Amino acid sequence: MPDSLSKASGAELLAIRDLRMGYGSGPAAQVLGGISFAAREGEFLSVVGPSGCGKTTLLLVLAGLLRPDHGTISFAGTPILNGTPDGIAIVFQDYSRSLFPWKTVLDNVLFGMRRQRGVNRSERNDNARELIAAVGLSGTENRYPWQLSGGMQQRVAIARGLASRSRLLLLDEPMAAVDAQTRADVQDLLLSLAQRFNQTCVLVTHDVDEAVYMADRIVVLSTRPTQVVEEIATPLGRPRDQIETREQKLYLEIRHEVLSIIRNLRKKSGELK
Amino acid sequence: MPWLQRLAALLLVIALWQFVVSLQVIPDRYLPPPSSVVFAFAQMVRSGELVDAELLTLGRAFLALIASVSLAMLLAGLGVIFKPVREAMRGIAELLRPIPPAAVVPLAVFVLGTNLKLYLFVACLVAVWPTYLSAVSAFEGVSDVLRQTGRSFGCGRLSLLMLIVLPQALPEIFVGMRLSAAISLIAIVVTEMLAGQSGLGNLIFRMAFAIRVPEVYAITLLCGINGILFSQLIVLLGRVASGWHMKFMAESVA
Repeated sequence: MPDSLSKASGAELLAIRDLRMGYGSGPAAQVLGGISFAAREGEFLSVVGPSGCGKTTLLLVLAGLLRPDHGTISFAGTPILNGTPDGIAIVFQDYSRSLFPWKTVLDNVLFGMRRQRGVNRSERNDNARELIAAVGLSGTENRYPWQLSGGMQQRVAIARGLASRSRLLLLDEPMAAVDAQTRADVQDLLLSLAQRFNQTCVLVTHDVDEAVYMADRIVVLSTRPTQVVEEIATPLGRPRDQIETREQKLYLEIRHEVLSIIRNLRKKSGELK
Repeated sequence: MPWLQRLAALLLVIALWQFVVSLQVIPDRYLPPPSSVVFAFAQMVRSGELVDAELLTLGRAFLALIASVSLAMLLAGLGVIFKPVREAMRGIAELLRPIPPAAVVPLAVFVLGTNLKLYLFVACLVAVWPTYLSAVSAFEGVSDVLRQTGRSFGCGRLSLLMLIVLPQALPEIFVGMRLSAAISLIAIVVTEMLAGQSGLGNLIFRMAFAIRVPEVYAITLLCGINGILFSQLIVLLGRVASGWHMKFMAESVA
């Protein structure tokens, strides 16, 4: 059973060095205080940290939507300067505000293919329908997102992200606004899709269990000013299983370690007593 | 059926009107019975003067509406892309908004003469604002997440405006457009009354001067009907352009 999702080429797809970001002035305003890590081609990377550590800010910077105050990001060797590079797609946490309400499910997914060249209309339609089927939403193509449940909407957002055939998929706590059962389903769906489409993923989450369950490797962030505290490999075998994997000794050890790190960080920052 | 209720309400008003007239508390020359208003209406239609005036007024109002909405959308759109425009417009809008069309007419006639330019100028000056203001508000109300989503899929400033901000904002903009439609009509009629040589406004003026009271009532009511027509036109347009929103509102009640 291979450890990482696909034949990981091991090449650094996304590399960030000493990323700093602050709002306003003064030491308290420093959100990101020098973050460095890399995501390798073919791997599933989870980024986990205490609440308020700037995970969403970090993701926006990774997507090229925010310019950092300091530091470098490069994607496939080229620095990200202005806007999201062709090759990165991002799935936002707030799917209800991210999906286009005037477009049907099919049109939303088709929008993800905006940047593709040389693919004609009927091919795009076929690909979009295939993706909609892959996320288990066959039959909803002509419905509007707001006619669907929360879990279904999130799956549309994921399908749209995958539609771009990007090399890197960034996910901002995609399961945060969804109920526990749907969360488990979407987790497994994401993993199977990532494997099927050989998709490199960076998942940002506050949920440690989720981070460990999904990842090949975990990056643990500190409290503000946020830095990388630890990088932990999670060779738990693929495919993962909601029951089996979560009972593995290694899973429990890694979970224990990450939760302890975060708890200590929060104690040190004064959040916890 | 809502239209049935509205029709019933209208008939009730007409019946009440007839009733008040029959009480003879107001002299006929101030409040004519509905029947004589209808008769006057028929007369003017037969003579052709009402139809001519109506077509002229509607034509001008329609052109004025198109011009106002286009200008409003252009200004609002530029305001989205360029911040200085947005800031400059804030002050200008506040200054120009409260000016009544009637106040502008005399000077405008002096500068432009009595022609289509006059009508368009006066009407645009006042009818631009409802559409402009609702466009600005609607554009500002588009969520950051939606914009970020657009940008993450490679939308530049213009694409973002046309493909994302505009469709999202359209339902709210149509609300403003309905108001602009009503104001265009009013401005045209007022201009016709003060300076025009044709159209419904001018017709009202002439009939009033000739103390032909039922005729004045008839034309006034026609102006009201025109307002309903324009409003329904915008609603229809809205249904075509933003049908999804009406569906959304209907289903959101649940």
